[in-house]
Amino acid sequence: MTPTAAGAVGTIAAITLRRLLRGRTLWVAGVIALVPVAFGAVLRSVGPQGDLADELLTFQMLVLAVLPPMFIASSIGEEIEDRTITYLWSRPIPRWAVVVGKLLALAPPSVALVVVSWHLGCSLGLEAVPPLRSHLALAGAAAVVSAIATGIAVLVPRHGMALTIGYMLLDFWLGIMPASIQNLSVLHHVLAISFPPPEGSDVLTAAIWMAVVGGGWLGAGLWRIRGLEA
Amino acid sequence: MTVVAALGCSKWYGHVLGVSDVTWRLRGGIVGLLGPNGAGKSTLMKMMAGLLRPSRGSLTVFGGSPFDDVAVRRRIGYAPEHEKTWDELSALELVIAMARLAGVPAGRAREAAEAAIAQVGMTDAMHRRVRGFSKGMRQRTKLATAIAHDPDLLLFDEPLTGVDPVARIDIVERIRALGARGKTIVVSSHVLYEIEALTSEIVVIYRGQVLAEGNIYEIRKLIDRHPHRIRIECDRPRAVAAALATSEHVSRLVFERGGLLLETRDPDRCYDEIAAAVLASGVTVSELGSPDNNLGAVFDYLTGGGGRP
Repeated sequence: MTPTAAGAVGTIAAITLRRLLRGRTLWVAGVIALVPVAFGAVLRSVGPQGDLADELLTFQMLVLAVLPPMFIASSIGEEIEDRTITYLWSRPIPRWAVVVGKLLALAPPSVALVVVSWHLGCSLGLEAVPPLRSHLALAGAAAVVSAIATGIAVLVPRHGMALTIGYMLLDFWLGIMPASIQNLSVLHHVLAISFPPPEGSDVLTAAIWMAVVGGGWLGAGLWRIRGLEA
Repeated sequence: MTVVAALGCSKWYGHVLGVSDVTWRLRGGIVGLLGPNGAGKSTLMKMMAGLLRPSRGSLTVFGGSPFDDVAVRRRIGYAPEHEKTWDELSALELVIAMARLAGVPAGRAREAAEAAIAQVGMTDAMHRRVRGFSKGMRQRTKLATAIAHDPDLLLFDEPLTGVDPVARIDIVERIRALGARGKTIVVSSHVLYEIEALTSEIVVIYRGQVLAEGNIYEIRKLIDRHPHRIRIECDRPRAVAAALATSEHVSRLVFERGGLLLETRDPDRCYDEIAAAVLASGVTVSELGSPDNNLGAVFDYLTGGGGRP
């Protein structure tokens, strides 16, 4: 009997999560996630600062650019580079099940850390907690960056984490480009959803663009992995 | 039944040749894949395990492509050469996960994993994390991951590398026991005596090509252009030498301490003549054998003496 694809994904996700809980990555990520919280605490200590949510969100973007690649790109990259992938691909499972299993295991902690970090940072440093939509925007963005990290890590396993962080820095730059290019920027859409301009923003369109960018990278990774050898 | 069939199978890594035009059939039993480091053993193993796809030609396992067909991979157990594994897990967790991924139902995975761990003698350490394991324990754990789903074909890539002598003997015995249970096993090694301890069926691979295959004695026939050495330990070597001196099958005679070493290009007839000479001269033979009946000599012959590790 060969395992079902869903069974294989579930098993790989369970192993990945167990390894995450026993490894150091989660602790390091926790420390990084505390940086915006610390920034919020500093804001609080120097007194009321008015509406600095935009600034705090920009700070949060750095966390968003680092945490998902740290979890996912490094996990996939190490698996391929250390050749432990040979254990998985010699089993009767589809190759894509490995990356999907890892994505399903590692995206939720990334999302949770990004959102909790944002909430705590705002609670400590701002007079009013930002709207729920900013939390949702960041959660969606963390999921999308996780998908981007997955795709990049499959395409370039050795440097997946560094390249994803580099890509997210480029994403900042894309966000200040003319409108048509802005659409490729995940961070631009997070800002647009979180703090819409007075004339309003189309949340659905922003969400679709984010999904397209994340799906594109993930699709490229899944396409590549079909023929990848170990 | 053919288990593995390679037909004109080649594999390149960019411009580097891994395996070149290999045509080979494996029908069962324990087979040793022998060759120096970089000969192409691991490449061939990985192609059999479905990790690599041939660049040219074909390689099938149980009639299907192991790279593309998950049902074929279900029947394969592979223990890779490298030591790295998921150190955060215990041996039992690792083997259970591998069994589940090989298709063992969740309800039976633990039982299958414990049985596999017991087979490799790791029961006492199965709850310990792999991080703290010695090389020998890691090798055994790898073997357990390969056998937990009861596959028909086992591929062990350098399973004795870095293992201490006591553990080596134990692992050899356990692999032989698996073979005795009817499993088809391919074991690779660059160490001649390791393979010799496991099986007499070998495939010699060198620079990506299969130089010879079969029983060590059959391989010896392939290389009969090289002189075969026979050593006779006896009480009166000169008497035996005198009886054999005129034989057309003996090309060289050398006296050694306590005996006689001769070279021949026709071992079968030469052994007959030795028997006749010993009987005729009435000497007492304490030992008769060939230093060439080991893989080291065969490997030296086949690789022109340059490939012996």
